[in-house]
Amino acid sequence: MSDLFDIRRLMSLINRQWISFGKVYIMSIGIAAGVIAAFYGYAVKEFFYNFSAEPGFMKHLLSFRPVLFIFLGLLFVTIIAGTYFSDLGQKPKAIFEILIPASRLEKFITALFFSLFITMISYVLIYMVIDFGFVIYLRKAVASISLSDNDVANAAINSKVPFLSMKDFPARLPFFYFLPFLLSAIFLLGSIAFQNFQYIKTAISLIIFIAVWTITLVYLMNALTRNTMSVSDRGLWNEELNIFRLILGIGVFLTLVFWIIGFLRLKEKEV
Amino acid sequence: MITIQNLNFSYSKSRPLFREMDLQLKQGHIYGLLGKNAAGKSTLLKNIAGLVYPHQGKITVFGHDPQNREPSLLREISFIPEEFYLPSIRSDKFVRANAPFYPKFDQAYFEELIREFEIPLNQKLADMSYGQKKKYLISFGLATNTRLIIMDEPTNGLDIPSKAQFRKIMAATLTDDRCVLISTHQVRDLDNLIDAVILLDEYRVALNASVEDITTQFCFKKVKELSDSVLYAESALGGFNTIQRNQAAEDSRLDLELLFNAVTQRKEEITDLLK
Repeated sequence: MSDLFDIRRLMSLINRQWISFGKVYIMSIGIAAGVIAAFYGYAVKEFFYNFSAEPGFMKHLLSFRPVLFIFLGLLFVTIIAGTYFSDLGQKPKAIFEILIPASRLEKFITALFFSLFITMISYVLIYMVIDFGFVIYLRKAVASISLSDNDVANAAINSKVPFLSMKDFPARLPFFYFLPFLLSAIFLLGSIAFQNFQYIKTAISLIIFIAVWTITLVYLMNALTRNTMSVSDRGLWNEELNIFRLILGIGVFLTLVFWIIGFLRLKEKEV
Repeated sequence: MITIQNLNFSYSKSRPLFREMDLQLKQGHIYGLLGKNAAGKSTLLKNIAGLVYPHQGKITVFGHDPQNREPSLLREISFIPEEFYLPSIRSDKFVRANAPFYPKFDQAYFEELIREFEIPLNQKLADMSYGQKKKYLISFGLATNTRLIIMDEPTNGLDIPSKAQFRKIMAATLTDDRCVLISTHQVRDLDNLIDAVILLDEYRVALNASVEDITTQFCFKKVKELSDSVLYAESALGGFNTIQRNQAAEDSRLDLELLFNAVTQRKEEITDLLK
């Protein structure tokens, strides 16, 4: 049996971790499902109590979906990642976690499996299921109302499409697909690095870092470009697509960097 | 099997715990690790298990560096800490989750220990009393059949019958390829159990000797009057408990508490005789 990686040991570890981590995970996904259902429930209530035959009403009824999906999803991913290694900050638990006979690589892969793979798949799945259920319900409800204006009725039915089938996502959105991975990597590192209140401390550190970075960047760019004007209109960064590519590249790079640091910090963790 | 060379360790720069400590532990022994409060008993156990890292020096356990936390070493170490945590699950689930990591785990032996310790398994582990949890953990640790068993204050929280059961079980568990290291303040609990004593004092190992060597060199006696042959004495009801040179090759029972006090107060005199 290799000391570095063994698939049977990895499977045993996944099974073991589910026992300790499963409860936190199920509770979190339950809360997320509740929040999603609450938003849709409010929309249903609006539909029945404040229905208006204007096309704008139907258009805005479920307009919260992209914002809810993104922000709740990021919150869910970061909470799971930010609590995954929190046991290492508690002496009685940390002794058992560290001494379980599995390699650091297997422990880290298991962490990624739960905090990223399972979390993201289950979140998307549960969101889609709830969304689909409410959309079907709303479509039936709209169909049952006899609208005098057929065009409005058709618009109402057609506007109720499942979230993933929506066509009006921003074109540049795929360039930000790295974001849940990056945030998960940062919060996973935070759960290893901090001894207690891992999620809050990581979030505060991240906010402070972003604020300092933004202020510094704005100040520097202001100082460097004050009283100057661009003399070239064919630069690489004048092309908007290249800027998004750069953001994506930096995002992927930073994600890998945070995973590597997390992996290394896991070895340094002492009780 | 366990070699510690030149170990230096501290939690803060101003308060060192170990300075150039050397220690060797061999298989086939049950070691009692003694020391004053904050002498570093638990920290030494953690260093051996790889839970903390030496600042200087080298520790070797079965040829491995515990810092690397290799699975092949970890599956040979069973660590029963003083402060522990058991999840809120039933025993069978706990065993199913953890036993696969220990290739020599013996389910039948585990069940035998559970019966012997009279641990009720009809409740979740987290709902057990402290003593029951501790006995459960000891049972699981012993059933893993690891070659190194480390116990930090194992008898804390055990009632009187459980302490007797513990001694009986531990005595039966020793094999030629096993090493058991027990740290405790309650030296009476180690009576008739350990066959070697390690005593920590002033950042180092003050004493590392077998019970046989100690009782060959010294005689532990209660006397009414002190004589010149007494190396160390403590007042007791109706006389003195003493440590004397065992020049007449008398059989006596090791008094760990007396030895501990003697070594901490008159270290050179006692340890020089054991060299």
